Amino acid sequence: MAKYTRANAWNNGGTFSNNDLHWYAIGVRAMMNRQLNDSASWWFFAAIHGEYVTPANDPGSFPGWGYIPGVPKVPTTPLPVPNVINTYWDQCQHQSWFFTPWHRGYLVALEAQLRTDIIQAGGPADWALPYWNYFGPGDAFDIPPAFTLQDFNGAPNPLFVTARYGPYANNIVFDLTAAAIKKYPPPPKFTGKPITENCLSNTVYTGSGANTKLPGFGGPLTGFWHGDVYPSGNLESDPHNATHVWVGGIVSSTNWGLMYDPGLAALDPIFYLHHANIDRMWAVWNSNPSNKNPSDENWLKGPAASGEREFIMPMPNTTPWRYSPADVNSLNLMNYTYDNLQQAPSVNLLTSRLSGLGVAATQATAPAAPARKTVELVGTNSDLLAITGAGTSTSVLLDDQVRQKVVRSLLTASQAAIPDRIYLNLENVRGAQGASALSIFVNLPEGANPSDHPELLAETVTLFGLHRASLVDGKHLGGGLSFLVDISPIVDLMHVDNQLNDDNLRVTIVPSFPLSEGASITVGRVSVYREGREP
Amino acid sequence: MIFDDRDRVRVRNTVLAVASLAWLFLWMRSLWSPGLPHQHMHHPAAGAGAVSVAPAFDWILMFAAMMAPTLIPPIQFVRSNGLARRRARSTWLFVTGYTAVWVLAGVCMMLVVAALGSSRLPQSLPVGAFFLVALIWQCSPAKQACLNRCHKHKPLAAFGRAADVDALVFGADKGVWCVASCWAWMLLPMLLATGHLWAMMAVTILIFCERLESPAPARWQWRGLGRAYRIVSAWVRFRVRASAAEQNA
Repeated sequence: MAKYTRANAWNNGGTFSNNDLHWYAIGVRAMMNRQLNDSASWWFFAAIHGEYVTPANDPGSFPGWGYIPGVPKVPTTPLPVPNVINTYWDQCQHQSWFFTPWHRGYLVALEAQLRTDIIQAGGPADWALPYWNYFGPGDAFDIPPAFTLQDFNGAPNPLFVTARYGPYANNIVFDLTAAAIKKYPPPPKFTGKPITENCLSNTVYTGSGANTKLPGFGGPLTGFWHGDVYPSGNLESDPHNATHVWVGGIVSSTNWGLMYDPGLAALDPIFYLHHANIDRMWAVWNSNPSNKNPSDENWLKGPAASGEREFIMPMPNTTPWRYSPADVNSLNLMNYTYDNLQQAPSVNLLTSRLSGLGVAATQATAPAAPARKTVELVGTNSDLLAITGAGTSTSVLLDDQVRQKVVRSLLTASQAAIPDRIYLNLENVRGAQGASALSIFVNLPEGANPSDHPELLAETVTLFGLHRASLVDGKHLGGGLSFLVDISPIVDLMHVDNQLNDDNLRVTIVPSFPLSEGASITVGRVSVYREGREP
Repeated sequence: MIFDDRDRVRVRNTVLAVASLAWLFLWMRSLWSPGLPHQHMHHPAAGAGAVSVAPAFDWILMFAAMMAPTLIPPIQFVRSNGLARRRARSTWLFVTGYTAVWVLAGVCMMLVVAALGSSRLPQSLPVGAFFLVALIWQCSPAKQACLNRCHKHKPLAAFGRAADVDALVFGADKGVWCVASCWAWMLLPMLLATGHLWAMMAVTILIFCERLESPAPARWQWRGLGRAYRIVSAWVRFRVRASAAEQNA
């Protein structure tokens, strides 16, 4: 039986009239008053996720923690002893199937510390971390007002941070939902697709299925070897990464919002409300009995089983908590629940695909995860692509024989013969921060204005972690980020319009705002893959 | 990265089978023909069990047994990066580039062994000296830099001659950084009079285990068996917890 209930931060208008937010601010303030090397401090917890404060990670300028503008004033000393740093800091799991369980344990530990501080300050013994459901009714996409006030109880508001700039980098902070775009029309040079709850329609945690694109709801299997750069899982990609970059925002290539960067993000108090919502979405997904977490021992035992660091969190007044995904695999194992685990409306992607292809289809007859799928390259561009200014196009040369397989699968598509899924694969995306996101257009005519062709916008990929992933001496050796974009709906359109007979596919990549002169983001390779039945 | 799961498994199984066969051959020959001459690969003092009639063949066998397991990820990468119908061709080109570098390295190492052999030094001296060199190299920042480069992959061309050249060059590049990382340990078994195959196995385990480690900043530190130790200790810990849970149940 759950002892605690996490509730919507927008209750009571998202102000300090909401008791959860009132006491959250008191708890955050208590944690912020502690020193960096205190495992009960706000700063220590932020560094558990990621940091730019140890000599190995501090660049000596922004985003070094000593160079963050405005409030909060982040301490850079005293550092914990090396053994403590190596045990606790920089644990966050991204681009991995461990994304959801690691963050669940992280929230549990922070919540326990906050509750301890809140109780000591005279607050409720059953306090629980609120969540920010940006998909909620009304203006729920706006950051709750308690986070935008400068003062709280006659002192600086610990929930306010200066480096939080919002999607349009104008200090209006909201998440970029479809509803938000109606309230806040994009500025003229902005390009981006709203965030979605589409991942909740997935049926496969790791892998793909009729309603699930690769690498799956929860993320790709990550194991022993290094060097390959994996894409984020579908929940991690949208809405998790997207919310990070839109809320953080980017002002220039040397100034971005805390939420934008994994090494800064957990310094911003909105971080934990965002992650509570991501955790809630995982629980919502699991509340459908047919959606299963991995049963693979390699997932259940966590990265410790393959020799990586085990998940470990400091806990108030007790020994550290060592946990594995098996310990947090279900909300039933936890001491908390959510006040809302209502399912989002499910979208049957196969049915809508088939109807787009002109094939009659009834609902929900596709197998969740069809067996024996072939994944193969269809084509690739030739050179490293530098995205500059308002965007850049490249031509992907398609192999005729493989392209014919795609065409055959589309011609014979039916509920029994699921058409090939087509992915655009962006590898080794690197660069200095310059944009929040890249919008990927497929088959955009030369000279056409991207904003005139929303039907050709496949996806907006967000660049959460670009800076870290581009560091040559970092954990990923500067391999950058990787994105898998499902372009099947556009390929279907091309097929229906008889345009799939060309050996070249034009791909146009448009930054959220035009990059400043001299700035560029590079893509190592743009390629097209098919996933289908024909070997 | 995007992979075909079945092809990944096929690559892993095939490469492990090649390495196993190489080990099997080496051990069987060692056990069944202990008296074969050893004039090519080993220090003149090397004795029974250290066998070699054709040095190039022996070197390839030794190299296949020791290095093949480390080639699983790059071969999977090469195959996934290219067109499916070119996978076999790209794999062979990659392996050719990689092997060519190791053959060149092998010639150099055999010259070193021959030079030491002709020097009439007692065997323990070069063995001890190279063991010390290998230990120092293992802890050096340069070793970490080489290991980091071993992990690094970059996109390859998919079509025509450019794809062939990229696969070959990628193999050679992997070979160069692999030789740079492993040369000291590879040399050591060649100097031994006895226990040659046992030393090879120990070095193989070390090389495989150090590839499991994450890329890291280049600095002085002991490296190699840390992750392997953690895997084993985690396995023991999980077993203990499981049996405790069973008893409680």
